[in-house]
Amino acid sequence: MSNHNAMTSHLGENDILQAVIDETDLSQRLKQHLSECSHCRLQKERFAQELTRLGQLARRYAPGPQRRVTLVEKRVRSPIFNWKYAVSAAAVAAAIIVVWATVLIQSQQPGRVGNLTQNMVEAERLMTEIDGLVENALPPVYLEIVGETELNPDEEFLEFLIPAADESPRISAITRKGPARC
Amino acid sequence: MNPSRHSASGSQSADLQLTELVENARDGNRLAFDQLIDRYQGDIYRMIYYRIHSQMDAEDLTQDVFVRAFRSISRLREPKRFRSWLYTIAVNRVNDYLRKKRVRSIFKSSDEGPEIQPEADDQRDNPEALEQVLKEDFWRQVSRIAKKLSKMEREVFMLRFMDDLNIADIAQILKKSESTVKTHLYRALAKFKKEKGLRQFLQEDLA
Repeated sequence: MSNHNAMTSHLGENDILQAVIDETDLSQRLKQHLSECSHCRLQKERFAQELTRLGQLARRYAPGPQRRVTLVEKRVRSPIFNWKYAVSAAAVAAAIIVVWATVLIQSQQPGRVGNLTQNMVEAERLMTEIDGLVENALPPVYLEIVGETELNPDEEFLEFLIPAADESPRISAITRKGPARC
Repeated sequence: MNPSRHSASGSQSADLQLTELVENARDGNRLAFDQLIDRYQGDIYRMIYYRIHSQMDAEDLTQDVFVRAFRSISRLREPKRFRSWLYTIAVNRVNDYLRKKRVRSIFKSSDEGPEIQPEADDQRDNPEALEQVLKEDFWRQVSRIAKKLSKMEREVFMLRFMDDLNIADIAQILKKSESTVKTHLYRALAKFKKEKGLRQFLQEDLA
C-alpha cells in the first residue's frame, strides 16, 4: 500500500528542484518515490542535464586565455617600490614648490621697493605743503593783493603787529607819565 | 575492476599531489606554484570571464588573483582548501572590478553594462558563422537569466552550474552555511525553470 502511494503521488516541481540541488534533503517518502518512479527520475535527470549542459556550453563558448599567468612582473611592484616612488614624487613636488615660491618672492620685491619710494615722496610733498601753510596760511591770491608773493616778516614787523603783553611801550609810557599836572 | 574504486583512488592521489604542491609553494617553491597555476589558471580565467565578459580584463584579473594568492599562500592553513580559497580571491576581485565599473559608468554615458559581444579578434578568427551565432545567442540568454537573479542567487547558481563546484565549496567561498547556499540555489533554479529562452536553447542542444 505504501509502495502504491509512493508510486502515485509524483514529485512536484519544487521537489524536483530540491532533488537537483541535493537529493538527500528530500523526505524519506519522496526519496523512495524518486528511486522507484521512472517518470519522476526522468524529470529530475532532464532538468539536471540542462544545467550540466549549461556549464559545458559556457566552457565551450568562453574564449581561452591568450597569455599565461606570470609572477615576475607583479612581484617587482611591491609596496616598498611604490613607497619609494611616492617619496620621490613628493620630493620633486616639494622642490618645485620651493623654486616657485622663491621666484614669486623675487619677482614681487622690486614692486614693493617702488611702492615704498613712491609713498615716501608723497609723504615728503605733504609735509612740504604743511610746512608752507605753517609759514603762511594766506592763499597765493591774497599774497598778490598784498603785493608780496613771498612774505617773510621779520621780528620787528611782527612785534609791531603783535606786541608782547608785558612790553607795550606806548601804554606804559603813558601810565608812567600819568596825567599832566598843572 | 571496480571503476568507482579506481576513480576514488585517482581522486585521493590528486588530493595528495595538490597538498604536496601547496605545501611546497607555501615554503616558497616557485616551481610548485607554477604547477598550481597550470592546474587552475583555466578554471579561474573562465570563472572571471563568465562574470565580466571581457577577455582582456579576465586575463588581467586572473593574473592578479594568482599574484595575490602567491603573496598570501603562507596564510593558507589547509592545503586541501586551495581551490576554494583561489575562488574566494577571484570572487572578491570580480566584485571589486564590477563595483569600479559601476562607478565609472555613472560618469560615462556610453558604458552600458557588461559586454556580451565576444572579442573582435575571436570573431575574425572564427570561420564558422553558425557557431558564432550560437555563441552570441548563448551568452545573451545567460545574461538575461543573470539579470533576473539577485546577487547571491546569481553567484551560487554560477558557481554551482557554470564553475561546477559543489555546495560545500560554494559555502566556503562565499562564507555562508550550506543551507543558505541551498536556499539561494533553490530560488535561482525556480527562476531558471521559468526562463524559456535559455532552457529551449539547452534542450535543442541536447536533442
